[in-house]
Amino acid sequence: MPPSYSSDTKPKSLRILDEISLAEVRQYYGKTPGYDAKSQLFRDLGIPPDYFALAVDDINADLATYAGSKSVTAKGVRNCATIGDFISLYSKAAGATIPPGEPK
Amino acid sequence: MRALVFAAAVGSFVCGPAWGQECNTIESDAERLRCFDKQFPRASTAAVAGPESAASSPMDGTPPPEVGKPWTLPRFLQNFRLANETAPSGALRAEPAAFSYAKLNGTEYSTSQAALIWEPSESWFPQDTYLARNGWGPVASYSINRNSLPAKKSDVRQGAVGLYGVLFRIAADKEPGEITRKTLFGVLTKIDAAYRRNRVDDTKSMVYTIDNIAESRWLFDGIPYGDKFAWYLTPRFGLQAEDRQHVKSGNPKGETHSLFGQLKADLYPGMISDRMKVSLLIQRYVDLSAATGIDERHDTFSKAGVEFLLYPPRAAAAALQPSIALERSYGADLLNGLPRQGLTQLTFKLKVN
Repeated sequence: MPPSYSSDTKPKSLRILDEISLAEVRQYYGKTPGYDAKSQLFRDLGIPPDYFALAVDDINADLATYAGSKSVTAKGVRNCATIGDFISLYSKAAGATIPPGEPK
Repeated sequence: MRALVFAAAVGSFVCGPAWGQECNTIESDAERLRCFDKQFPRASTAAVAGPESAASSPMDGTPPPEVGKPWTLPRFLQNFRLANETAPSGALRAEPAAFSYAKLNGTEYSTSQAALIWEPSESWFPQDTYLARNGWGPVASYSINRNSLPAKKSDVRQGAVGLYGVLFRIAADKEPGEITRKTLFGVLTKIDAAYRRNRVDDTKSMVYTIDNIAESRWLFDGIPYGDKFAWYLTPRFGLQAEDRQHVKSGNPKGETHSLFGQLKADLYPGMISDRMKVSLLIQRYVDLSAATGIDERHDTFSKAGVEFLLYPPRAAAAALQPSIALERSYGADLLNGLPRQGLTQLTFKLKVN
C-alpha cells in the first residue's frame, strides 16, 4: 500500500528539513509569521543547496522503508529551492499521490 | 486549424444533452431528478477535496470515484532547466541564463551565457547500490558562451554527458529518533565527457572533467539577506583532460592534462543592507602536461561583484524579483574554454517567480 501524503510523506519531509536547518520548521509551518511551501530553503531556512545534497544517503535510506519507492539523486535534492519542492520530491519518490493544490 | 476547432465545437453542440426536454415529461420526482443529474452531471465532491479525502471517506462502502489528475509536464521534461553553466554553482543555485544585447555606433552586439541542462531527480540505479544510495544520476547539457564584441569575441559551444553524486561524506552519528546525520565534511562530484567547439578559433575537442565541490558545516554561517553578517565559502577542485582533434592548419593537435582549483565566497553584509550580496571568486588553472608543440597554459581567473535586490528579500512569493548587479571579471576562464579578457558588466536581472 503506497504511503499517505498527508500522514506520511509531508510530515516526514518537514522533519528532514527541521533536522538539517537551524530553524524550527515543523513548529512554525503553516503559521503566520512562519513557513509555508513557498519558503526558500537557502534564504529562509539557511540550508545551502550543496550541504543539503550531501544528506541524500540519509534521505534515500529513509525512502527505502516505503515499498516500491525510488532513490532520489543528489541533483534532485540540490535543485529544491523551496520547502514545497522538497515535499514534492520526497513524496513522488516514496510513491505517494500528491493531492491537487498541495504542497501548500 | 481554425476550421478544425470550429468543427469540434459544432460536434459538441450536436452531441450535447437534450436540454431537459425529455426529463420535464417524467412524473416521478426522483426519476426526474436522476434524469437531470444524468444530463447535467455535478462536479464530484471527491474531485474538489482531492483524492486523499475521497479515499478516506467510506460513505456507503462503495469505492470512491476515479479522480482525474491535473495535467502536469511529463517527468522527463520536468528535469530540464536553463542556467548559466559557466557561473560557478557555489552555495547558491546555478545562476540564471544570461542574454544581453547592445547597439553601439550603429553596430549590434550580443552575449549569451546559457545551458540547457537535463538532470533527473530520481536515480536510475538499483536502490541498494552505492550509486543509488549516494544520489548518483546522469546529467546532460548543451551550453553556448558567446560574445560578439569584436575586441572580446568568443563563441564556445559544448555538449556534455556525465554523472553527478556524492563521492563521500563524513557525518556524525545519528541522534536517537532522527532521520539525518550532521554532515561534517563531504564532496560532491561530477564526472563528464564533453564535445567542445570553439567557433572563433575553429577548434574541436573532447574534454573530460572530474569536478568536485567540498562542503562542510564550517564553510558557511548565518541566514542570507538577514540583519546580520552571513557568509558561504565554496572550494572547488578537479582534473581536466582536453584532446584537440581539429585545429586550424599549422596548429598542433594533441592532449593536455590540467589541474584546477577555485574558491568562491558569497558575503551578505546584513548590518549594511539586507538586500546586498558581495561575491568573490578566484580560479587557478594549470596544465600538468601537454602534447608536443602545445604550449603549457596556466592562468588565474578572478571575478568580483555586488548585487542589490530591488524587492524585499523575504517576499518569496513576489511574482517579479528584480535586482541590479555590477560585476568585474578578469583573466582566462580555461575551465570553460573562454579566452583571457577583462570585462565589467552592469546588469539588470529579472526573476519571474
